[in-house]
Parts: sequence; C-alpha cells; structure tokens
Amino acid sequence: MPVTDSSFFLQQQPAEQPTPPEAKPVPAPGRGPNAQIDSIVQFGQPAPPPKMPSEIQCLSIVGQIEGHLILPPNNKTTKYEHVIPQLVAIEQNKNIKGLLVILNTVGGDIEAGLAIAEMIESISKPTVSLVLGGGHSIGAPIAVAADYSFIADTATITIHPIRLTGFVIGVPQTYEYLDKMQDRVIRFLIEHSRIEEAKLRELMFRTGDLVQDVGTVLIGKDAVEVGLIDQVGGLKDALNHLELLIAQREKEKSSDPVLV
Amino acid sequence: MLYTIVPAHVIFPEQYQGVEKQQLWSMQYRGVEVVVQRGAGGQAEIVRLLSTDPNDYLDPMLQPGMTLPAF
Repeated sequence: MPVTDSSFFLQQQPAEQPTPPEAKPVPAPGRGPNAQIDSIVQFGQPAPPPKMPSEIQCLSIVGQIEGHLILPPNNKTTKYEHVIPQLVAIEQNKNIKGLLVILNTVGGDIEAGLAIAEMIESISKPTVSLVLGGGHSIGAPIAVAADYSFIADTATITIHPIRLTGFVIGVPQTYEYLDKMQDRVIRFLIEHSRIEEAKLRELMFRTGDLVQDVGTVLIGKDAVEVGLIDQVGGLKDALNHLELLIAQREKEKSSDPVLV
Repeated sequence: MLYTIVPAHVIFPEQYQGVEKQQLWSMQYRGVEVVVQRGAGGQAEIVRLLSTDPNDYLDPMLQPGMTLPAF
C-alpha cells in the first residue's frame, strides 16, 4: 500500500547537510578499505601488511602501577587504562594462546593492582608470570595471579604492611580502613599461592629485616620457600612452562566434545 | 591509595620545578599503539610501545627514538 502522507517522507529523509571538508572523519591508518592510501597520505609510506598476533603475548608491568591518581612526571608508570584493554583483547583474540606477564615494579595503586591481578587470574588462557628485579608491594598479587609463577634468582619481593606514609592515624576508623585494604591483598595472596595466612602476616609485620620499617624482603628462592612463588627461573623456564600449559590446554580442548 | 616501597616524598616531590614535564601522547602507528613525544623539529618520536605482541618490538620502524614521518 503506497504511503500518501507526504509528512512521512519528510520525516524519513535524512537532513541534507553539506559536511564541511575538515569534518570528514580520518580513518585510522591500517584500517578501512583505503588503508594503504590513507597510510601513504598520512605517513608517506604504505601500511605494513596485516599481521597475525603472536601466539604468546607478553605484558610487562614496570615502575609504579598507576590507578586513580595520575602520578607526578618523575615516576615511571604502568597505567591501568592501558593494561586492562590489552588483557581483554588477549582474552577474546582466538589466535592468542597464552600470556607471559613480566614484572619489575615497585608497587602502586592498590585498586589498580588488584584489578590487574583479578583480570590475569580470570583469563581463560594459560598465564605464566616472571618477576625480574622486583615485584614489590602490590606487584606480589599480580605475580601470584598467573597460573604459574617464576622469580629470577636475584629478583626480590617486599612484603610489608599498607600504610599512609607521614600520616598520623587520627581516628580508629582510619586504622580499620587500612586493615580492610590490607586484608584484600592478604586474601588474594593466600588464595592464589601456597603461602599460609599466618606465615604471610608474620612476614608482613616482621621487625629487624627492613631498615626503619616492618616487613620482609624475599630474594629469589626465599619467595619459593615460603610458598608465594612457584619456582625460581628465567625467561627460558617461563616460556617453556607456558608452552607446556598451552599444549595441555589444547589436549583438553581436543578431548572435550563440547569445546570441539 | 598506594601500596609501594617508594616513600611518598619521592613519588610526590615538594616542588616539580626540577622535573620538566614530559609531553607524551599515544597514537596508532603501523597498527600498534605507541607513546610518542615531540622530538627535534617538532616531529613525533617514539618513547615506548603499548603492545603485548613480542613481534612488534622487533619491527625496526617501531624502535624507541624513531621519528615518525610528518603528517
């Protein structure tokens, strides 16, 4: 049945607005049908051929873990908003088989650190972590979040209480809040490693190990002996173990009729 | 709230005058997210890659310090 009401057409017609040339969306280079031309126009060279992602992806966490606060420029940081989408991409890309997490961090934001740790823990693909140099404070939950964790012989993990440096705790509630934050970290560590809660608390509040502070520095095999990290090793060991986990996963998949 | 071994006065110095603010921004280049700064001649210079793909770090065009072609 023909529509006779002309107002219907007026409504359906898209408003003809001349778009100013500068408002034209510039496609990101390397994407879209004219990717090559766009790349030559923008960069003076053709875009590289589309590539397959490497089967093993590597996430390096360095410096301070930056979360809700932008830290002053003297700090080298790993930003939460960069890491989280990368982890999502790794989880959803079918060509990616496993993730290697390399840590050399002094700690940082509790919530950002725990968020990254929870993301690594809940990825369905095999994950292996390797602590090089240092995996201090909130770096420890990220190290134990992986399916299997390695620490280099000379690398250290500092376990210490959460505190507000230079801040006098005025009210009991502040103390309770700190205590709750600390419990979140402790709970994550004991749930994702072999360490006992009593042992972890003892290490955290030990005196005499750190200058002017309470806590413990675990060097290489110490971290394995207390059960926090699975094995002392380097890059070769970490990659070999990751490949082993990937092979196991592939075998499980092929024998599971639901997943085939 | 920070949980770190670095003392607060090191993270937050009393004055930032001594620390020149590094102007960084990130962009897509050769299909990879890169952090760039304004280098000599006002061109973008690669500071760091934001990629988890190890092969990206082998690309000679994506090495830190490389200047991006003007656009």
